[in-house]
Amino acid sequence: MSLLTENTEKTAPAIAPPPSGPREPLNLAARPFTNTRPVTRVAVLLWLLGLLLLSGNVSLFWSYLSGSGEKRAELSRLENRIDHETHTVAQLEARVASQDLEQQNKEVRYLNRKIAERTFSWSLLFDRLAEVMPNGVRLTHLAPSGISNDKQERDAAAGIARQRDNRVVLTITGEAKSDEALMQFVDRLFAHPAFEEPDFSHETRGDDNLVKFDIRVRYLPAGPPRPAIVVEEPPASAPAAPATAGKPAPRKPAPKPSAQEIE
Amino acid sequence: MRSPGEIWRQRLWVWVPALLFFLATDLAFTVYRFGFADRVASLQASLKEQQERLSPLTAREQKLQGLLARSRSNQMAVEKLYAESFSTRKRRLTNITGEVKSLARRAGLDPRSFSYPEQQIQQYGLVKRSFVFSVQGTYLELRKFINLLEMSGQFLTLEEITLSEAGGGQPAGRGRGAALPPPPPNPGEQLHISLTLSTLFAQPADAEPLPVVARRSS
Repeated sequence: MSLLTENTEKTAPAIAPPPSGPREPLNLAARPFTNTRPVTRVAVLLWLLGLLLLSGNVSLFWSYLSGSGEKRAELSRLENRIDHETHTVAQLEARVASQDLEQQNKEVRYLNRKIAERTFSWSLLFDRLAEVMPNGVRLTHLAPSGISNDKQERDAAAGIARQRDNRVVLTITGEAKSDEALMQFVDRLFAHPAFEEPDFSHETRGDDNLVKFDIRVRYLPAGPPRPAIVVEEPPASAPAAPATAGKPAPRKPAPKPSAQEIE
Repeated sequence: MRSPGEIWRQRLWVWVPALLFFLATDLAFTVYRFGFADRVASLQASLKEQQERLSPLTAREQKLQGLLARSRSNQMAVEKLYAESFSTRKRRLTNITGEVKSLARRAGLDPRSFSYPEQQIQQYGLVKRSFVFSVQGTYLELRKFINLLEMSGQFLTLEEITLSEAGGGQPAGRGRGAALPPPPPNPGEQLHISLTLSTLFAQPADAEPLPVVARRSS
């Protein structure tokens, strides 16, 4: 610093003239300037990232602790349940084995056949055959099968598959005055919804010029499916499977046998 | 002039703690990712495995429960059928015999003689009792009898019908359920009709098996 006063002629020494060359800039700092901003920025960034990771870790670990606890508890519950189920299944299997279901099924099949025999409507069959019978044809023998016979019972006992749709195979033996009458009879069987697939099995012409024939046809006692049926309840006093009625009485659908096979 | 790295050396206390903190949290994340996250996945896999073990067991249990329920239901239905429809000979013999005769009379048929063959069905604790009789009657009377039989409250099954001309001509039909379904040209024509009906009796629990016999009444 320089001290400036008035009247400097006597006491003040002579002032040197300013240098004519380039002058150094004035730097009043105690220490030289250093740029620390990159260091600070990196440090702040690292802290922020570290904090983010820390919070993420805390969250993950917390969820791990709670989640794994729940899973372990659930696992334990499942193991207990599996033990219980295994025990229950073993008990049930022992009970099922003691029931002798095979014998019970045989009995049910037998009883269902007996009920089917009881509920088979002969009157309805007669009515339906009368609908398809032309004048020149006369039946001499009618043998329904498929409701029950010895072979069926043997088959059922042997576990052979049975017809479950209540179809009955009819073997019709009869006499026709002419071939035309017989063909008309077969055509009517084809046309009737309660009969399916009539087929000749035997045909001979006798000395009296009558055509004796055998026809096999499938009969559907319940008839084809209909859009709406008015069902009347069977009388309370009737047996397990009361029969359907013929002409004089109102027809009632035969109820299904109450017992079912266990498979 | 200072080198660019000198400031980092001078400011170690600023950035090194931050870096250490970051590295520590990163290490913790790595430890979790490869240590604990695997345990969670392992637990999840165990859960899935146990559930897969449990599912068929549950299905099996339900199937067995259903089987037993149906078996119980069947047993009840069979017991009801035996009690109500079959019953024992002691309870139904006279009733059902009277019913057959009554139905025949109501249809206009007059059976003169009956035979009662029986068959033991020991396997199911039943006795099949047949009612065999012959009558003279018309086709319409036969149809009426069949209709009354079908409407009967008794467990009576039509086993066999045999028809022939009443004058002793050839049989018009024979066999299980054999019949002449359409009315003959003259519905009032007399026919010789042989009928076989049957019913089932439940055997009492303490009953000894009876020999197969054919009883006859006239």
